[in-house]
Amino acid sequence: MQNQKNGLSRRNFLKVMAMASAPLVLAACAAPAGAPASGTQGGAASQAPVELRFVAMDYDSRMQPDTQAVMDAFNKSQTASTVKLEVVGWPDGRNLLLTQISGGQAPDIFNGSGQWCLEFTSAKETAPLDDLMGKEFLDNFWESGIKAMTVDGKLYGMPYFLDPRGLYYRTDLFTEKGLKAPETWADVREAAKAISNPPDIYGFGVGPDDYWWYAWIGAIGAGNDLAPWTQDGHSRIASEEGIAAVQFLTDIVLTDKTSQPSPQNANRDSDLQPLFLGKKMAMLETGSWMPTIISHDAPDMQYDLAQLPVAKADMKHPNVFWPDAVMMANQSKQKEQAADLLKFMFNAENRLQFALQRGVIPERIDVGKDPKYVDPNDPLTKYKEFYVKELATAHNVFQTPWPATGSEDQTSVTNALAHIWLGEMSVADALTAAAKEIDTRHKLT
Amino acid sequence: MIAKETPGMLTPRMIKLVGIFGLLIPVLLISIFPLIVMISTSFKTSQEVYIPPPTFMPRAPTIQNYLDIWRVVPLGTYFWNSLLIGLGSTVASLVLAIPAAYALARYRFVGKSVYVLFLLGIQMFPPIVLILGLFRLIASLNMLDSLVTIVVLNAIFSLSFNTWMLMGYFMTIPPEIEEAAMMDGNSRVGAMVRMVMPLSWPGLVAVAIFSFMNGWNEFTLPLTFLQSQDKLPLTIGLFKFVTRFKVEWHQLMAASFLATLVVVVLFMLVQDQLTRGMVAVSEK
Repeated sequence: MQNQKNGLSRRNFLKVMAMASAPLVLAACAAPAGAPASGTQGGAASQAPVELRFVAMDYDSRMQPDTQAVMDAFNKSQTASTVKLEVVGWPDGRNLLLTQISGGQAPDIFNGSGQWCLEFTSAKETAPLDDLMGKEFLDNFWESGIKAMTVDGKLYGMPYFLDPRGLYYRTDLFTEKGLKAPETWADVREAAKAISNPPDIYGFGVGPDDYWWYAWIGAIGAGNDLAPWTQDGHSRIASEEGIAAVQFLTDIVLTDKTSQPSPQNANRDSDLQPLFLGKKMAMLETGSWMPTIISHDAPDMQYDLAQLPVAKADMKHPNVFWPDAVMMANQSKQKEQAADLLKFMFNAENRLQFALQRGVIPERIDVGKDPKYVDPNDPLTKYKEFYVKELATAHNVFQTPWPATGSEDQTSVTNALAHIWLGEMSVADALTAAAKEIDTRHKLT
Repeated sequence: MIAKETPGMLTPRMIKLVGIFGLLIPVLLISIFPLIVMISTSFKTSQEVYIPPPTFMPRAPTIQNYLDIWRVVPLGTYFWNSLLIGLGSTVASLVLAIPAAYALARYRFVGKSVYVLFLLGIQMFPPIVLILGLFRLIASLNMLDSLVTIVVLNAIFSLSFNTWMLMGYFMTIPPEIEEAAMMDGNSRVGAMVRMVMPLSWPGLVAVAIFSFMNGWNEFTLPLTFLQSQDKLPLTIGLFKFVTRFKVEWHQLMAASFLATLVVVVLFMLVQDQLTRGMVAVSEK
């Protein structure tokens, strides 16, 4: 039945295959295969520069060009190494790093949250930096930043993005109601009740996660133990201070009804900040990046910044931060060159630029005092000075010993808040249950 | 007896039409609502995005976002890379799926029914389940950071669906047509290429479109396997507007609209073939 002689001719077959292969060939042309894995040498010659990889999580749309400029400057400044920058998004950055580390392809340098630093360090995937960076160099940094990245006496990350927090409030609304800057929880509740007029304007932004922390440290006050664990590792969230903190938030949500809707699901960046920027919120606790965003997205907003409120007037105002770090992978085969890159990235000039570009608080003491940073003609300078001052005593959320279950523990608190704000449980019952859950997770019951 | 229509009187046909449109119009509005918001936001300034109450019509429409996005990110490169991934994976997948589907449609062999079920079942595996193993494999082959890797992996992941779809379509074509072609001196492959494939054009187009869209929309594989900025596709590129503390909604919506436009235009061009292909497979 078949006649091979009159089958598809070789020429036609080759034509079909050539057409089919064209996009693959194009793709191959566009992408010379095989990026060298971290740790490979840039060339065969021993004196050829080694290739370093820096995987950077982005903070804003300028992260790529700004960081690339620093990398280009580093490449020009020496001949021992060249660095290749890869900027990736925060939401998927951690999983990407985990995949690369698991596959033996960890970048030499990468940044991430302090929480990642502790997780990767516990898995022995980060390299200690004390000796590589040297004491003299590290003395340039705020102690709170260095301590935040220190585990068991060794430094595992360079503080990269320090973000103490403050209470932003609308001065036009406060003036209109004859209110003063809020200092205590009572002030906050009073102002929120006076101003709140939903859905046109909400008094006070409330959410889980960060917002629990603000209330928690506000219940205890600066100068006291702000860790949510006792010395023996038990959770303190259901303590007297823990209950007072959540009761404050719950009063705003359920009693005063002056928060925005659905606080149990509220996300700081995608829900609360846009409400404040849209002038639909009178007070919001958030980070040091906010003045830069306001100056861009709501330049006519009349606002000011106050310290995080405390439970009682005689308490000192505490602060809290979630530091980010630049880490060196333990898999890196060229730690000396990677350390040189870190020193270049963290010199005063580059950190000044980073602070100005991102609107964050410099981790170097000298940069915080630099006239270019605290320019008297810059309207944002007063906020910068505020945060530099706050940073000196801010509490690190990831303070060691951060348990391996830290993220899950925070989820227990978040779930408890949801139960409370949905009216399903009382504050004491929900927190007691959450504390028990955390202690069980730590095998402490 | 036929009812006489009088002006102003609702006939059964009119009632039916009102019912159909009454149902379809709300569904249509709900379907295009995100699209309207996307287009509207893409013409707003970053400040207007946050001004309450949100409006469909921008207060001061601007095309600045459409100009800025090319400067903020290398959008042209992202488009080109997406196009290469989409086209490459479509062609690679079809080259493999066509003979496989033809064999399944025409031949009887041991384990065929199990294999067909296997094809169906394998589609339930999301790539993310295999990503770590794949990463190690690709790294060991020194094929990280290559568009070819993404093309090959995309083709592999869409192969089972494409084979399944084409098998269904080939089965709608009477085998007598090929037998006649072979009587005229064609080989089996020749009959397939000269007779079956031209007759299967709508089915091939439908499968090609699905395959292209898979490649165009793929996110996990490029995120994991690509490293250089100049190799990233649109899906990853659009993510550049989602940063740690802020989403640049105005620019994200402008870039998303352009990315969507490509797929919409493609759909419009091949709408007839797509519908015919889908209907033929479903009828079978």
